[in-house]
Amino acid sequence: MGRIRAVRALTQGVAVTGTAWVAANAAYLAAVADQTRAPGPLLSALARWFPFGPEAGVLSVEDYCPLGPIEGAVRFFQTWGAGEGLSFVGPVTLRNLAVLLACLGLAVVTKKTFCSWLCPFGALVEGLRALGARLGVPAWKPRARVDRALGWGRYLVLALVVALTAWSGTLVFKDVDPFYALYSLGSERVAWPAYAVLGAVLLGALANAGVWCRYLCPLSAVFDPPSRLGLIRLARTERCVRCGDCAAACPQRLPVPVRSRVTDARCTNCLDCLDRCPEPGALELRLEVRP
Amino acid sequence: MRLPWWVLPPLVALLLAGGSAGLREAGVWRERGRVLPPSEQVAPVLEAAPM
Repeated sequence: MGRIRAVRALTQGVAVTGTAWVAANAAYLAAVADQTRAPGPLLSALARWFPFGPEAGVLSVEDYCPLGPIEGAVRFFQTWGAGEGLSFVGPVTLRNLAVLLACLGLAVVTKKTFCSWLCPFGALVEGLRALGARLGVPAWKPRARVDRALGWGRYLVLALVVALTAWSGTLVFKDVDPFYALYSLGSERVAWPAYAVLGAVLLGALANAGVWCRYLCPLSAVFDPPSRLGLIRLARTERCVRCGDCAAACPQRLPVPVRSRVTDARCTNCLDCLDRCPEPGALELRLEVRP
Repeated sequence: MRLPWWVLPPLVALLLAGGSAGLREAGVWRERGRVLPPSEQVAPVLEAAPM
């Protein structure tokens, strides 16, 4: 593991720990509120070390989800257009909208860094693929044409989620959301299809870390347009010897050795290419105000 | 402008935390936690909970 990858792993670890803490806090409070069951030994042990309780805020991972406002976008714009003020679907609040706006702003500046540096689910599937490689699970790498076609799946999922949420008036994605199934830690009622999707995605991640992130995640599709504008992007210099190591390292399978600038919307600025590059100065990070 | 790679992690953290906090300061969102119905409020129960 290179130096950059190690720093990214550390950042991902902080994101996973923070998310798990929010989830554990919500699970603990839900268990305490329900007087018919105790919080359980694990949560009670954690409560000794972490400030669980109302002073930490009664928040679950759902309260920070940036996808909520997108799911209810139709209703939001309908009520806004009708002059009825801001209206969200289900438990979505202005907090979710603030997180979404911050993430979109982040994508405009640093491309989809949320996906590779901060997403607690992305970190997990990346870790699982590393585990799969150690266990000898062969990598599943579909042909380029199939890979591109599967990449449209994210937009299909996003369109379905927005349409079905508008039609039903409820957050339908919750019932199939693997992130929600995992990080609610049993504190919320999670529908069985969400656990089924979670199981399938985690199993698939042993062979390909991108099964969820690259082919199915609707949030990844939301970040594509601002990411295309991303001001901080990788540039290839004249020192490049075209060894192809960067392309081999790229989890998005981008053709880095034939680009002078990596402006592709799918680039998450994970910097795995930079980490793998054997030629100092051949790849560099640049701040550029142009498309 | 050329940037060293190590600028990225703190910049990401700063933009996300700063952006979200800035919106809160601007009054876009203020509430601390979800308002629970009285039947689910946990403060009195916490005192008796094993810690």
